[in-house]
Amino acid sequence: MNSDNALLIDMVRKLCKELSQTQMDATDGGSMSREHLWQKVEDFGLPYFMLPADAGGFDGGWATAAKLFQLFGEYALPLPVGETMIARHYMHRAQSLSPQELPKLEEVPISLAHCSDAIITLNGDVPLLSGALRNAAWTPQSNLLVSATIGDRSVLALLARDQLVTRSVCEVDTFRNTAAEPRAHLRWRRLPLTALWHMPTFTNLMTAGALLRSAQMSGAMQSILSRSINYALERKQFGRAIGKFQVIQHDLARLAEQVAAAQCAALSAARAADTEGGTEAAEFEIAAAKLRTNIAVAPATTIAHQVHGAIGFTLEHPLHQFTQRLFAWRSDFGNDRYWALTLGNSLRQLSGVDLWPFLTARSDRQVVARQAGDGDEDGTAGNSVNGSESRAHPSVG
Amino acid sequence: MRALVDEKIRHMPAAQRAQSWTGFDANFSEHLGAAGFIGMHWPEHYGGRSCPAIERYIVIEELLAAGAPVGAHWIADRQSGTHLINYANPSARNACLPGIASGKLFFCIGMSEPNSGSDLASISTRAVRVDGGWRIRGAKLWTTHVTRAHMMIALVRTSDADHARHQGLSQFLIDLSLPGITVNGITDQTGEKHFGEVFLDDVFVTDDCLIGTEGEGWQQVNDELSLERSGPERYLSSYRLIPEFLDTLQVDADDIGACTLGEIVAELWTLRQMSMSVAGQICNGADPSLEAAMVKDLGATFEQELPHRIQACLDGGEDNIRYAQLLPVLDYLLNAAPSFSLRGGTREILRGIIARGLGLR
Repeated sequence: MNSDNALLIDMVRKLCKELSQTQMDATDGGSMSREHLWQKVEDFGLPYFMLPADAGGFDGGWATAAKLFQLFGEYALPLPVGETMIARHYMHRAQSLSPQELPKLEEVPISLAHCSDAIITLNGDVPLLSGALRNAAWTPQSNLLVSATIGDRSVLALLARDQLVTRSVCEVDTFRNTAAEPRAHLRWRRLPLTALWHMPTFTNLMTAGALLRSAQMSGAMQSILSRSINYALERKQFGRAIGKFQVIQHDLARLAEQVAAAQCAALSAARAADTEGGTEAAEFEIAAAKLRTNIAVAPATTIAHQVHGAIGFTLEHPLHQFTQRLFAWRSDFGNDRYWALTLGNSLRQLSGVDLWPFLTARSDRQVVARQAGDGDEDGTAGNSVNGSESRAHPSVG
Repeated sequence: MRALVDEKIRHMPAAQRAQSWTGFDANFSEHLGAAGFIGMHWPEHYGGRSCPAIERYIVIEELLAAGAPVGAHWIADRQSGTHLINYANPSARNACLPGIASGKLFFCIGMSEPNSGSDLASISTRAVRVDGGWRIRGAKLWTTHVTRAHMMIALVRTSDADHARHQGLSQFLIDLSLPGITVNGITDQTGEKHFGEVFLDDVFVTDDCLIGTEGEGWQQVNDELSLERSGPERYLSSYRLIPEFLDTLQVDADDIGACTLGEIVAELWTLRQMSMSVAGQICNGADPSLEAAMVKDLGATFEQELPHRIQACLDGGEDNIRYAQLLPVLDYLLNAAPSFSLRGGTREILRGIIARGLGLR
């Protein structure tokens, strides 16, 4: 990672800290506070991070974006910042290929979804969308960018927030997920589209969303790890800090391993998205990363709660801000079943002898592409465990 | 590399390939040495090729994935040779390294003893200085390939630990054909004699067999263990099961099998990314002991659970013809897997290292 990126990540960390503080201080939790928070995100320019510099962006690739996504998770940001960054990235690409007149968007977030059963019909010149979404994130509070496959072509459609709730053509079943974030099941019948792009390459926002959640989850896990370590060193029972008991130390070691695996998976998948030329082309790595992060949820949250004891189970304590989001995000953009079946069924096309060559050919190509690029050698595994120095301790032969 | 391995092991039964890096085949090692794939990261004058460490990493990944019988030279290539380069005097290096690189000189690790396992600093095998060298008396236990290895690097006590128990330890290079040495194999529950015991009855070794500095054995053995713990064999020991399982899924496909395969490959891919990152850090001169301990514990847990997870997907009535490849591999690995979290540092020792790295100890 170059020093510019380090500086940027530092600035975004400060912003996240400020936003999460504002959020936690807000007693009313009303919409004013949320809009106020979002304005700070817009003022910073975060939604445009992945746009080219000449379009007012930061030229941010997936690997750097993933580090920002991790921060959004580490600070439990209650806003779809990552979704909006990705939506703006796709919209910019789509607009530069075939400019469309965009529906009027207030400066509010844009969420993402892939509609797998979409049908598009025409009413005169106006395309009409029919189809359904389950568990759509941050809707209908946000605008929504939807990808769909029509025949053998991919399309993108931008739906403004007020379009999403037009009663005559939309069924909306709104609910809150385990972390009280807004979600909805949506069904459209001949919803008129004002912005529809035909994409030249396969486009699926579910994969991009999975990368986003995987990185956010690994960030939230980093937060519960540091909180658990700090708590174990502060809390005294039987005359000493509970972190001095071997059984707690081993629990925290297991937690650290799960966090390291989740972080390494998410960041490796993001690097693959950069070198493979997009999230769709890196579906294998992203599927593996989201699934691996999902697998880490149960052991990581269970250990964090166990170490924190009763205080961590209270509404007053911030631990639930992270653990509840981990419970909920496990189901976003593909749960375990979805990605395990996707991976398993695609790998079943290989014979056993071809599995290892398949795995190594993908990673070799990615290493070569990175070396030909900017020489970013930031491929560290469990590098953020408290930053403390390790001292080896030998054992059996 | 793939062609060479394929030529040599094409006709090897699946269950034999499943032995992975504990499979002992002196002919294969000699062949690999002649082809220049042992000690390839060492300097030329020791029989190496001065390759970047990452090239060796790729070669050993390929050997492990294929299930090549690399056990005979594995320990010498992984740690003993490099440890000699780092610490031994020139005569010991010159005497051993070309033999290792040619795939003819095999090593074992003399650390555990009958009363010292995880608590390695409590060893009681002792070396006493005598005219022209040292006399060593004691015993080593659970020593992998001890009946077939030629040399051992042993940790022994050279003075009493008055103040700190980690002091007064030293390392010696011991030729296992010396007078006073008795070696016995111990049959493990897979039916193999992978490990064994060695008794040292006043064995005389010359001065140049002292490795490194007298009394610095603890720090040296830590460095040796870093070499031992950081490699891809710590998550690939059960790898052979995955392609065999994949092949059965093409015939008998269901969602449970596909889901299990997906989960296994997601974890395998992640471990490989983590392991390559550790290898990259070592290449750049960093000391990723904490990361290596995490990868080894996660990796050992993965390779240990793998046979159980695949067994759980089967219905128990698989016929022996269509499953002729999978079942013997599964059988062997179910039996071998308990050792995966014992060897090279138990799970409990590794978690202690990780806790220390987290600032808890």
